[in-house]
Amino acid sequence: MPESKFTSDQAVAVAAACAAHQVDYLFIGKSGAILLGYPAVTQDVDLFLPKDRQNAARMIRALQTIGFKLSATIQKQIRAGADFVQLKRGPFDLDLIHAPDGIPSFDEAKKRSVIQDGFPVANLRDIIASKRASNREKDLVDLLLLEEFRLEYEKRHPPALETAAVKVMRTTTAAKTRSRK
Amino acid sequence: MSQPSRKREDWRKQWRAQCRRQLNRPTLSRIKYGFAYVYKPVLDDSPSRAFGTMAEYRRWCRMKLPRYLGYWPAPAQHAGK
Repeated sequence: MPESKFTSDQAVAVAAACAAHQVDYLFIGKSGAILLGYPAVTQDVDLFLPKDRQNAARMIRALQTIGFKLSATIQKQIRAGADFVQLKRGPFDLDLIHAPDGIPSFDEAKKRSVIQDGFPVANLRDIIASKRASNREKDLVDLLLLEEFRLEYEKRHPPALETAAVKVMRTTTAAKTRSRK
Repeated sequence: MSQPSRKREDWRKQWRAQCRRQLNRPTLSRIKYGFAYVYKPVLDDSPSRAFGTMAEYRRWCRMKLPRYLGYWPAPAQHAGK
């Protein structure tokens, strides 16, 4: 069984391929947090994509240029915007996520995202909100550590202020999305 | 200060210090040391899989994955914390 490990060369290749194919995406999950400086280890790269057939087609082409061999079935599911797609036999383990828990909208997440040395990464607060919303046993310890990390991270990267109205809208939208799932 | 409280405070101090060290490292170094492959049964046994909804994915995790991998839903008292 291949032992895939995401290397820095592969990270640069992903970012370059996505830029060349004009793919809209964000690193999320623990992989996103690691890019932001979270001192942890993970196996999979998690990429958040908008539900957009054309963007999905561009992502498929970008992945193929860096060595992913995608079956017709998986390509169809990516284009259809399947909420969660796991790719396990490529150059590295990759999850494509169209509807991460706790993040109601790609466009809103993108507005809050950061560019970490050329890598588009979801805002750390969105990453934490998503982990909290996914409610998995494995994330319980991570959440505690992530919150402590956030305090250090935000000393160097203070979050943008938001009005009370914007905050209410954001939390209301997130609650409605959760109740629909 | 009682023993358990002192241990909790030390742990946080050390963790915060580790966070600061990592924040000082360049992004490519974070990637170099941040990804490792560890075989996970069932999860890593298929070349790819897709789920129409996250609810479907969560159901699959609960049905197919061994609990020790941590993909099961957290117990109710921890939910959302």
